[in-house]
Amino acid sequence: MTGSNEFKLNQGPEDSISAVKFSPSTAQFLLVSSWDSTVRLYDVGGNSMRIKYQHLAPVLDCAFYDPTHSWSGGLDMQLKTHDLNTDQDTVVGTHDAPIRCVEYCPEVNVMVTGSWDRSVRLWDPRTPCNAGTFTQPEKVYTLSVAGDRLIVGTAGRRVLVWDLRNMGYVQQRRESSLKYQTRCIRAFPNKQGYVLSSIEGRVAVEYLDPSLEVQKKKYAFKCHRLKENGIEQVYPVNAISFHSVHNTFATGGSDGFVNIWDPFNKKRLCQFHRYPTSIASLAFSNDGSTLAIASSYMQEQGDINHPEDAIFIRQVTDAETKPKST
Amino acid sequence: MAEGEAEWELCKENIQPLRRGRAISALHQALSQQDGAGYAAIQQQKQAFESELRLYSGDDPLDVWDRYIKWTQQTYPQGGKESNLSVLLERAVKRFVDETQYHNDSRYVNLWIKFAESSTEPLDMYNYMHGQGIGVQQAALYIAWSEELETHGDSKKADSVYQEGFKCGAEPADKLHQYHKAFQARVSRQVMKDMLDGGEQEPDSPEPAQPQRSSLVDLKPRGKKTAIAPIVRTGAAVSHRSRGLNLQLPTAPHNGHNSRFLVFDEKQASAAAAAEPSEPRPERWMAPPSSRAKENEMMPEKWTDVKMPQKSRAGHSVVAPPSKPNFQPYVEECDQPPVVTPHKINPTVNTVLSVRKPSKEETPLERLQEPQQAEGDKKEQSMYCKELLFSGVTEFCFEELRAERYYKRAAQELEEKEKKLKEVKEDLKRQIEEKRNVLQDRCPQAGAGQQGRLEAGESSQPVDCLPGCAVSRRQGSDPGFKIYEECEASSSARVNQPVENEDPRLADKGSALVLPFTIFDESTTGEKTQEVTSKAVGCRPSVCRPLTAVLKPLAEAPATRLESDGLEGIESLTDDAIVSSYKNKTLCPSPDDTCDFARAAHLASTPFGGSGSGLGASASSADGLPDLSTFSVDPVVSAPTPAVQQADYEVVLRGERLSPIEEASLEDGHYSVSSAFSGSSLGGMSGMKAMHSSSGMEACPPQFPSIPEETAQNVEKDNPCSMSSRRRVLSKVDLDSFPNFYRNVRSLPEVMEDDALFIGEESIMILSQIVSGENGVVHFGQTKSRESVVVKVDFETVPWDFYVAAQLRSRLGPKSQKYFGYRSSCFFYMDGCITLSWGRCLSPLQDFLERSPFLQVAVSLTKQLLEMMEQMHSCRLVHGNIRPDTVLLRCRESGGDADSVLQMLDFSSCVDLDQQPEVMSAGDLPSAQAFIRQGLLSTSSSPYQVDLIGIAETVYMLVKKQTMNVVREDSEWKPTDDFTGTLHGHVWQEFFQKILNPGNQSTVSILSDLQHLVERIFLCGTENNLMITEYF
Repeated sequence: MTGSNEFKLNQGPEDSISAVKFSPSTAQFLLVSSWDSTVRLYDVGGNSMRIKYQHLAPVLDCAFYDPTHSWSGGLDMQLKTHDLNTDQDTVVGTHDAPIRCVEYCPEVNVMVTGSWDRSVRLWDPRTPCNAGTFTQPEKVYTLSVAGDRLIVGTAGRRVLVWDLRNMGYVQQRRESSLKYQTRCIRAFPNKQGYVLSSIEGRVAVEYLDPSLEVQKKKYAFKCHRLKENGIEQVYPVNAISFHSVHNTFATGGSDGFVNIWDPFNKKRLCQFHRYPTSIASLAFSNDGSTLAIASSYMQEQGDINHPEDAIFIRQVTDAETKPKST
Repeated sequence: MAEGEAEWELCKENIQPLRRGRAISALHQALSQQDGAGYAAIQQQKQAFESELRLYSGDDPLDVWDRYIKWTQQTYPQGGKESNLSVLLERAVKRFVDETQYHNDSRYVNLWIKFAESSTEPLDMYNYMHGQGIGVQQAALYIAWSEELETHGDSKKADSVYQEGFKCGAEPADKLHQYHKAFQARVSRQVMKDMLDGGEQEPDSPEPAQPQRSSLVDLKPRGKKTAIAPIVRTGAAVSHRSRGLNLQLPTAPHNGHNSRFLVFDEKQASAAAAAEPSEPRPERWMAPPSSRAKENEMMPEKWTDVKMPQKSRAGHSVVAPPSKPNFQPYVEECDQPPVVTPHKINPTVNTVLSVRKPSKEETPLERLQEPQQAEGDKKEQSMYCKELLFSGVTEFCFEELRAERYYKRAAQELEEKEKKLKEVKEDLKRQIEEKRNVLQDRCPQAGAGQQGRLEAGESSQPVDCLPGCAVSRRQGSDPGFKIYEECEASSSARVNQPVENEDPRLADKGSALVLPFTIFDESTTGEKTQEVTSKAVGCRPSVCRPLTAVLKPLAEAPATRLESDGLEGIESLTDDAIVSSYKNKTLCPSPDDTCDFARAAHLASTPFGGSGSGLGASASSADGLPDLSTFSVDPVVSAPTPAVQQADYEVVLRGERLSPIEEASLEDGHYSVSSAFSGSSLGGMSGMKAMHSSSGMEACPPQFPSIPEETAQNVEKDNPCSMSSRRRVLSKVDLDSFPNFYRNVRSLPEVMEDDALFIGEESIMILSQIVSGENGVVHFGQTKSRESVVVKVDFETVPWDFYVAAQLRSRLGPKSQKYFGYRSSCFFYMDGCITLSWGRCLSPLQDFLERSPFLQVAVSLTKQLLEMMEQMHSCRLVHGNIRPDTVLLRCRESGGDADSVLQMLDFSSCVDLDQQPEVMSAGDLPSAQAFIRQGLLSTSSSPYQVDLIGIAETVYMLVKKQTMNVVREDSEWKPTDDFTGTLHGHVWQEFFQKILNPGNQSTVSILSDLQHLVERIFLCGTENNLMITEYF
């Protein structure tokens, strides 16, 4: 199972992990945000923690702006940027409610944050300062950047597509194809569409092109369900991450499994072993060689005893991630 | 507010009225802030309610819902989608439908009624409620129900409902009665109206008491009209209530139909009471009526024909299930689609998009009751806290739930921390109490010193620092002692604290000490005067009585408060002071030991006086100080030295007026021995002696309270003439920037008479000594270039004279040369300083006085004195000690100003009001204390007036060659001698009258007035000039 291709990171966070992100330029560095109010930078190769900085409250998401700057936000409602070379913090701005998502859009060179105050805010990373506040119809639960477009998943199962270069209006208003709360949205690397997961063991693959022919291609499938004693146990699908090269994606659910899917052939490519507890976050490195798996209980079933939270680094092979060409 | 009102006026019709009314503030807020700031706050509040709903762990969950709904009503006056009010109501209602404890809870019933009112078929709701037993004890149900029926035109039924209510004993009964009466009145009015209109006779006269079936029947289509016009008594005839968004009209015919139907039924049934028809209802209405879409809902004509919509429109709700006709509710219920909130897709019960069609018919009630089973039936189990996610009105995600838990935990931790801190505090307080009690027990036996040792280990808790009442002795059995004893122990404890206590402790002591004194003074003046004469130490305890009485409350006060009461003097307390003071102090007083008392009095008035000294100056009651400054006849006695030792908390007590005569002598003697700064007060010593030898003069110029050498450095800040305050002033000023100021790192050079002093670049031959004291020596000297200098050697490193002279020069400009010398330089050493003042001075005025000058000369000198002081005052310097021996006569240099023979070089009592703004009144000046005690000055007079009195005395001396006695006549001070025999007596009278009663006039103007006055005398005799030249 866990051969030499997988190991656990040392000096992990002391509480649940909320997000893991690889550096955009290398598979060497991994940024981890946690419910213990810290954001840590790990040297994956050396399996050590390099930098740690604090927020005032649990951190819900983090992202790289460039290999030397990390941005993070959480329950303290503050958006912080940290210079990883000088180990200096700066508070860039705030939301009116906890910040749920932090993403970077390279094409437009803007940081995007979504918050439970029903707004998405853009930030200019160079200054850094606020570049706009955009109200969403509901609390923002997840967001993803596809080229120069922004896909926002909110409460009430809504999905909004914005054009980052023109935020005056919503480009598309959609409703999630799944009938349960949206858990995670990730855009295809080819920017054609996005994958949406819900809390009821289902994943939908959707396309951005509103034309009918394209829209016909969308579909949804069940996953992360376990059958036990004749009863199907349905788990939330918490994490999605795309392989940048192959356009395949991995999903992680509260059942502790990681599956890798081929969206074009509608097949599952691989399932890893079961991890000790729920998968909170997944991240492929930029070259697709490494997958970071945050196995951390998310209190889906209340505040109970759970296995220790940990981050696993796994070297993935083509066999696991490349679509079978049949 | 006006804008808010305007808004309200403009959209009144959009506001859903509330029975209990709307808070106008919430209304304004809601109206004015549709978006923006208010929005965020509203969202936050909503989130808070939502999380409370989920995390509530108390006994009364209904309370959360109730508050949430009430808040929503207030915040969204127009109702509307965003408020989710209908969803809220429905959820709330459904949530507790099974909990019988709430069935007759008025809140719950009101929720139901509200829910019913906003639904399309409230009657169904009421029926259901009645069937379920919800609200059967509540009058509100019956009232609302019958109102609804009345609206539908079914007065008979309505009345039966009332009867039902009475039967069930609904609460509050009188309300029910009231409404019933009103209802009957309405009905009868209508009947009457109809009678009048239709002219038809009803079979039955409208009798409110009777079931009004017959009249109702008649009210139906009347004879004339065959059409079934809906006589729906809506609107004006019926008490209006909000129907929400219901459409009235479509239902009217429906209802009319209905009512007719019902009435028909009942008639046929010939049921006597309404009870019977109600019985079937419970069976029929087992399930709550479904909620309806409020608007945009299709009202199907035939329920069987309606198709279920396949897919909801994007972003919009599922079309609500078709409404059921009323007459077959039973069947209807079974077919009811799941209860769905029209606005939001409730995933839990949304069957429209479900891949699985509802496999069996479930009543919403059943579904509610057994959600788990339902899921189980579907062979699926959600491995997450679904209920929590969706239990509120808006959904939560896992992170939100977790965040709420986190916040709760953080708040708890904070509370715990606070509690712990409180406990620690309580604990410490208790410890102190215990120690205090322990001390009280020990106090009677041990002496001060022992107590000090015993208490060495006491934790220094500044919080309860009591002023160190010097008196630990228990004297007498005065009732006043009771209070004293209470805090005596602690006070003695404080008194005897070993030095190693921290400074803040001392500071608190001091501060505590000082503060109460002011209070003490005010409250116990009366008592004090009685004690004045008694010199027994017994005075002291009684003195301390009010003190401690005041102190007691203070003792409890936290240190910070004490300190913040602005007792500046405290900080300068050093351990030295305390050490030196109490080490030598004997704490057990001998009541008859007046020496002790005297010493204490003296020390009490010294600026240092341990903690209390600051008080001395600041209390400005000058109670202690006057004694110091009072003149005594006795020559210098050695007593002062031991008196000095005594420093001590006795000092603190001194608060009261001590007998002037006896103590003063000791003080003065002490003064002369160790006048702190005025080591160089020219002729100070001799002057003192001279003064002493002359008849006791009450209005003797105040001596600046002597500070014993050893305590010199412990002066309180409050004494503006003290070393420390001057040091402070000097530190603010950059001495090095003054011309002729030289700093050296050596120690003070030896200055001996008839010897040469090499100083700076000068070599000065030291001639005769003018005065020498513990703090300094003054010599005449001569430089190599034959210039006369006055050499002052100070043993203190505070070159005050130099500073003042420099200030005068800078502030007055060239004018200063007339009276204040033209040049001075100062050499600053490690342990002292030497000041050289150029100017050939002969002698203090005092000496000149002994030669009995002519009156004219006196006049001229007076004029000069006045002018000199005017100059000083005009640049905000108070001299403070104008006496014949501080004013110098000088040799007229050839070419110098012929008129000025006076020179002022001694500024030892000077106060620079620019740099020492804390000196605000005469009460702050130590030198003024005697005058204040006498009444010549009040504590609040301007400090400049001290100089006026000094001038008065000096001039009197000049004129009369004797010291001045003043007496108060007709609210004015005047010298006892009325100048009747003197030349120009009336002028002098006027002079003294003016100078001794300055009132609020500025001294500069007074001085110039006086100058003019004196001019008149001066000009009378031109030979004056000649006279003066003769002398010089």
